[in-house]
Amino acid sequence: MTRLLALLLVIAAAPPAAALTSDDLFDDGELQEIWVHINARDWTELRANFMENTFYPCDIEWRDFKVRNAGCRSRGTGTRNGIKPGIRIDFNHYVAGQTFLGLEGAVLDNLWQDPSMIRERLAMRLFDRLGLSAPREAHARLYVGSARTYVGVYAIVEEIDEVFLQRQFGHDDGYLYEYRWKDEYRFEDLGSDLEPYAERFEPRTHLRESMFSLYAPIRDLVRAINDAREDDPDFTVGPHLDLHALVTLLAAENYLAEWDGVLGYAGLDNFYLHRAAAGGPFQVLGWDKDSTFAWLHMPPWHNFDTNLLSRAVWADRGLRAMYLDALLDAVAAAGDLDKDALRAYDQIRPAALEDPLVPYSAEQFEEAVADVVRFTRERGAIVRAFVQQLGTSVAGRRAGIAGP
Amino acid sequence: MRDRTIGATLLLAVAPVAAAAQVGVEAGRTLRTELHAIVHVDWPDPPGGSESSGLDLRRARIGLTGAAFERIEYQVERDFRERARPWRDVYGNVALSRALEIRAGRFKVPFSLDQLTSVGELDLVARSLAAQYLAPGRDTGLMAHGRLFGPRLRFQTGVFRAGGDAIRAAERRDPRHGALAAGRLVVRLHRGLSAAVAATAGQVPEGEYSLRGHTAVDVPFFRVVAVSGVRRRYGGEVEWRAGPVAAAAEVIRVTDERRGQSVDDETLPPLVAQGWYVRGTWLVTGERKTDRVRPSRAFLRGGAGAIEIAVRLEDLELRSRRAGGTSAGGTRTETLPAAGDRAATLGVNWYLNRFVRLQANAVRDWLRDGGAPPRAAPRRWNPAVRLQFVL
Repeated sequence: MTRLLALLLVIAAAPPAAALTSDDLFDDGELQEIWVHINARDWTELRANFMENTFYPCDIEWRDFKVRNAGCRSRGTGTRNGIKPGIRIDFNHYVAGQTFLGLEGAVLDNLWQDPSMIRERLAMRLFDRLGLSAPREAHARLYVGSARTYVGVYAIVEEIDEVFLQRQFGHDDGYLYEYRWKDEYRFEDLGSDLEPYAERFEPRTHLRESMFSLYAPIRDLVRAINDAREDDPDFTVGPHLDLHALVTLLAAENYLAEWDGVLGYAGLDNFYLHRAAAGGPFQVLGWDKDSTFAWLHMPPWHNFDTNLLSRAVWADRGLRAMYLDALLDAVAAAGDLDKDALRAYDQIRPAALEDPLVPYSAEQFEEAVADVVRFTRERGAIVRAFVQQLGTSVAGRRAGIAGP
Repeated sequence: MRDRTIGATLLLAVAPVAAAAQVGVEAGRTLRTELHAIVHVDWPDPPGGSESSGLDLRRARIGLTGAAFERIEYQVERDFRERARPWRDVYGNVALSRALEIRAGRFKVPFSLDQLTSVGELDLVARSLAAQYLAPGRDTGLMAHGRLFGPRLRFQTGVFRAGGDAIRAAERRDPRHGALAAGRLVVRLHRGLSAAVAATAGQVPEGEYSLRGHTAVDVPFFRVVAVSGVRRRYGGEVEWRAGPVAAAAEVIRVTDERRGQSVDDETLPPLVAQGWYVRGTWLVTGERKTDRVRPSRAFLRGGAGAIEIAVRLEDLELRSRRAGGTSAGGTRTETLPAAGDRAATLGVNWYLNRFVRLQANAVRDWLRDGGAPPRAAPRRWNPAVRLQFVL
């Protein structure tokens, strides 16, 4: 009887499972534990054929939840590998309409190119503080297969999809495109044919719409960028692109010394485009920020001259001031990013050191984390100094220096 | 257009030979060889071809059948329309006694009355769904067969290299496939009435090799799932012939094990496929029903040939042993809702003479998809016409 009462008390005290939401899954306050149930043969095949997008049946277990009949496949571009594969989960791949905590899918980022394993999480934290649309993410220990084999530290990242759009913009019926890196492209005019745009911008919504409906607005955007008047690019580009959001994104990326983003070393990369169903300007959404924190002294206008869009932004006095303003906003928002870095480090350290598939040694991990922490502590002053040197009036006032 | 021309040319070329009766060579009782041929021209041609809605030269088979030294028989047959596996039957047979003969080579695995019936002797244009998708078909093997207790009991038992040629092409190519054991026992219950039971068992390698489920108009209705373990087939059949009337029925059940196929490497409930058909024919012109119908008065030889009416009702269904649950896709789903197809076929066969036959069929099917209400195939009745020449 006593045992029964105790059991009932425990049950009553336990939080109801239904109360959990996707915020709990992406809660970076704790190291999540995720178990991908996947047949041993499928796991072997997924790793062997990691360049293919073949889905394999899998069940996903997190806390007391188990989602059955989900689909898992290898993912990533530069991070794709057969040792520690990145995994995309589609909860509705085999069961139409199936969701998990309201999510249709999620990404298990293998953190392959980030020896510190914390760059992207910190980057997204800064994006969020700057009011940029950013996917939620948290670190997780990942277990695979019937034997619950530990395969390392991953980041579970919110998929940019209709659910994300609903959360960010209050509607999910917009046009969403993932930029697919094909070659060194920087918004040059690709001509009137829509096919070159289709090769670069993969639709994630409105998949059945015509080529014209999907890609004519992108072609118009690119034409406007190429026709931008140096004295007033806002006049030509503004109707096609949310320049304020773009400028904030560029500032955040450059504050973080991102070298593979919108102003990447090999052209555009790692972003989504979104446009409301009713029309209006596109918004650029940042994605995959594991190439950040790489260059402490990178000028925050690095690569501005190579990209047609950023060149137009820089040429315009008002937009340039807005950009410098956004840089100083980033400096302020990143004020305690070092604490976030150390918290993340403390959280994942034991799991990272046990990671059996990580391509970096423990020493490299520790050094990389130290570099990131140093970056978070010193980057603000460096960026502020760069802005100070440039010395525009608006930015100057914000930086506490005398204007021109 | 090209197919049509080839078909017509072949028919015209072979027809005079046919008219001169069987083509064969004999050397006393020591050696005997006969040429045989089967040509099928179908309408409509299979969808997806370069020339849709036209004629299709479906088969162009030529073969030799012979005997030597009274106890040895052989058959070699090649289909000149088949690119993937042009050789059909290639075997030798030694009759040690009436009770025991040994056959070796490539021939049909002894399972399913409908599958074992020569394609030139089918009452309807297409074999039953059960025979097409559940019976193993041809394979290379060794078989003992014979008759016991006079004509009353006939047995066939053998071992074959793999799972037959009706399985998925990927499974056929898989070097891990195991041998197939098969046995069939036919009992003559009464004059014109016989019954048989048959079974096969073989190892299926791990992979997406589940049996196929297609409708009567060749539309897949069951997805591929991962299987591994033993594939077992059980079949029962009855055949009855009385004068111009004949009837047959058959039921086949196949189970595919799914050892270690769950996402947790555990064994899933087996995949179960079962099919049946009931078939009847009536030669309205009164000829006796035999394997090869001979019109009593051939067309253009004082008569109109023989007219036969044929009808078949059939069913094919696939599911997991514990059926039910949600209709999830994926190759490793624990419970697979039953999906099936029931089809009715009406046909008329016109035997112009002993060599030429014109078949006209109309097929209607009702699809069952994962427990959803039955629905008819997009086309209400699907026609199939075949011109056949058999030598």
